[in-house]
Amino acid sequence: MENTVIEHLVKTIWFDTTGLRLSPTESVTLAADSDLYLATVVFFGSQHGSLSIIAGAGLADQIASRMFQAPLESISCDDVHDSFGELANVLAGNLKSDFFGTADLSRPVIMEGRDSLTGALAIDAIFQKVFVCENRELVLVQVCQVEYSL
Amino acid sequence: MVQAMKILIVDDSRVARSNIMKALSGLVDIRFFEADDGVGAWSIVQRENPDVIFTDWYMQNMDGLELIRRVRQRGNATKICMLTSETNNERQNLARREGANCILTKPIKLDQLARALEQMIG
Repeated sequence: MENTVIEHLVKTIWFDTTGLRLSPTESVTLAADSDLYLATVVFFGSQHGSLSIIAGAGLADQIASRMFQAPLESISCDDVHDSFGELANVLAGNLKSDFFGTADLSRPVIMEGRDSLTGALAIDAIFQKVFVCENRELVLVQVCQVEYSL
Repeated sequence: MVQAMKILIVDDSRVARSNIMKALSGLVDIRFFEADDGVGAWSIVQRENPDVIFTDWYMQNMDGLELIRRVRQRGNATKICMLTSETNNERQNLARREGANCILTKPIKLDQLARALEQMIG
């Protein structure tokens, strides 16, 4: 699948799930002044891989507020983990067929921090794109293929 | 006295369960049950015998597909709608063959849930 088609799919699913708009950008600097959230869903079947999304804590809070349809001040850390994971799950399921066919999906794994997550940017990905969300926050969406040899 | 319709929502995401219940609330008189995996859902099925189940596919302990198989071993009275981000046709057909009455692909618009419920209960 062409990258432009994947980009369009990601933007559509993101908007339908969160009500927030993504625009592609060439910048690779993610929210420098806050922690990051990373959600990863693993594909396992005849081919293995993963989908990850990374966003700043401020945007992750906003996503939770939108998805729970609740005021930002009422959003808990659990709410952020739950909604960010569900967003990754929805993106992964929709992109899976084109990359990994009938593979199964894992439950989303959520990590929070900064230093431990920056390594994700260096992974060799089959799709990687940075987006601006609502003209403010940056979001990284990445699909990787993993080769296992036992 | 007419009894409330029993609807079981099964999803490992709280936000997904919450939004499904919001979408269906007020359509008919509904008594909701919730589970975050197939094991919890199966326990509720045996105890409450729900009229309708809305279930996610990929969950820990027992997935939605296995839940459908178990429910169908009890009969066809319970209507089942699978809500999943799985878009692969082969996989969706598998869920239909196992007994799902309908499949909605995430992200789901709220009016799709209402229409699905109306279609399943006639």
